[in-house]
Amino acid sequence: MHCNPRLRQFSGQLTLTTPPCLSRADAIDDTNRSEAIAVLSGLCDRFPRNRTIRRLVLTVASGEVFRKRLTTYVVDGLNKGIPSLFSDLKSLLADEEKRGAVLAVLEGMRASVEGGSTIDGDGDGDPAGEEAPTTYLWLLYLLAQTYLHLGNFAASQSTMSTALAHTPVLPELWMVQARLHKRTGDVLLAEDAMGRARALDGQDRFLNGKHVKYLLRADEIEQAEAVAGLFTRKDAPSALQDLTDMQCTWFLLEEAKAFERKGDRGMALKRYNTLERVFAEIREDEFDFHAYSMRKFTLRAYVK
Amino acid sequence: MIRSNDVLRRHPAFLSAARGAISILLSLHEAPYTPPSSSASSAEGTEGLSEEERRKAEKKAKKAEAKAKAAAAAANGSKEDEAAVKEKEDEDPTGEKAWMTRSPLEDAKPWLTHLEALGPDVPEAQELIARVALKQSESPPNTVRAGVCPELIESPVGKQSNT
Repeated sequence: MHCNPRLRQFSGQLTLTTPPCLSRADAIDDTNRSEAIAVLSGLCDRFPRNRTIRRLVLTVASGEVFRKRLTTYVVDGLNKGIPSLFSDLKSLLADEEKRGAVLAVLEGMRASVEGGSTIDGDGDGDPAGEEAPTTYLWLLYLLAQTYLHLGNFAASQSTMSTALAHTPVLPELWMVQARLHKRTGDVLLAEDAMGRARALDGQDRFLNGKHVKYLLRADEIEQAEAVAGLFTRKDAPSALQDLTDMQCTWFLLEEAKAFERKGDRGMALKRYNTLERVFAEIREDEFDFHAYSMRKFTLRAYVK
Repeated sequence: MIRSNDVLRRHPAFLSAARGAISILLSLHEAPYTPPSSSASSAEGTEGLSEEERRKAEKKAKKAEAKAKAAAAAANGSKEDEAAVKEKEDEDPTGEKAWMTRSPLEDAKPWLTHLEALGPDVPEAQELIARVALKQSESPPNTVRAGVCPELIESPVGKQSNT
């Protein structure tokens, strides 16, 4: 639970809202639920800009209260265009009742927008009563990710198609499309989609890394090294050497698996051995670090 | 902080690498390996190549490597570059040294040492140690498959392993 210090201090005073209690959903049951929500609402008023408390309410609430709070939370997130909204709400999907509620709320919003109104149906903001295109797009993005997480690939794909037709130049959309292809087993299409995402932002290191990984999954080893080389040190003998020096274990592992799939067990074994050397190197470095710590009298880590 | 080294090799990356490496080494022990065809002269499989032929092929490859290095050095010109390139020289560009091993199970020993140090509460490590131990206890190789009673095998499979 990510608390800012003020919240932790304040909440320590209230029996129901001590962090261990709130962060454990099983500590809240129907007996103390409304009390917990009341306390959290009080905290919301006290700290109006704190998103954590409002998100915590969603974990704690259920039924109609949950729906209402969820709608407010999602509307706020979509209006702001928060790309990580899905990651935020993902944990709610574990609960069957909340899963149904989330889908119902999101589909309701979608129907509302596609019917010409705003997502919360009250037609404010725009003089024509329509929803902003950005909000609609982020809604589709959220919906596609939700379906993908729940394994409903058909619904996810249809939502993605709508979203991509709406705005083909958003890298996040292509990333979800790539992930969708990956989950349905289309490694080549996945690589292609992730490549399109990367092309939309050449300076994004994360997209570069993702594309490299998808290339390796598609067994395109040379191309993967070339793409990775866009972000490695230019004075290193090779992209691979730099990645090894930087102890980039995921790359070495993925490459090894790609070589194995291609039948080149020698190169795969070589990569595994490189990985072993990386770990040996970490151990050696740490060994040297003990002497350094002694010299600098930084001894706290050694004392229990 | 001293304890961090004890758990260092519990990292999933290390366990994945150990699993991959040991699988490959076990498969090399099982049956001769033919790498996917490539243009390099020494890339033919070990079957059919006698000791002498293999040594010749290795020599050839070494000569080609030295030639390429000389050419690169001439092209570079600067001494610093040479030193740097030498340091990071790739001794095994096609992965041959890795798979052309005479004793795959011996090669697995370094991995096993680390896995054993992880202790009994890491099941994946124990599984890998067990697999190699079972393979080593099979004698001769390829005649006893796990779970098959020796009496039921009509004739020993006379394949030679890489060892």
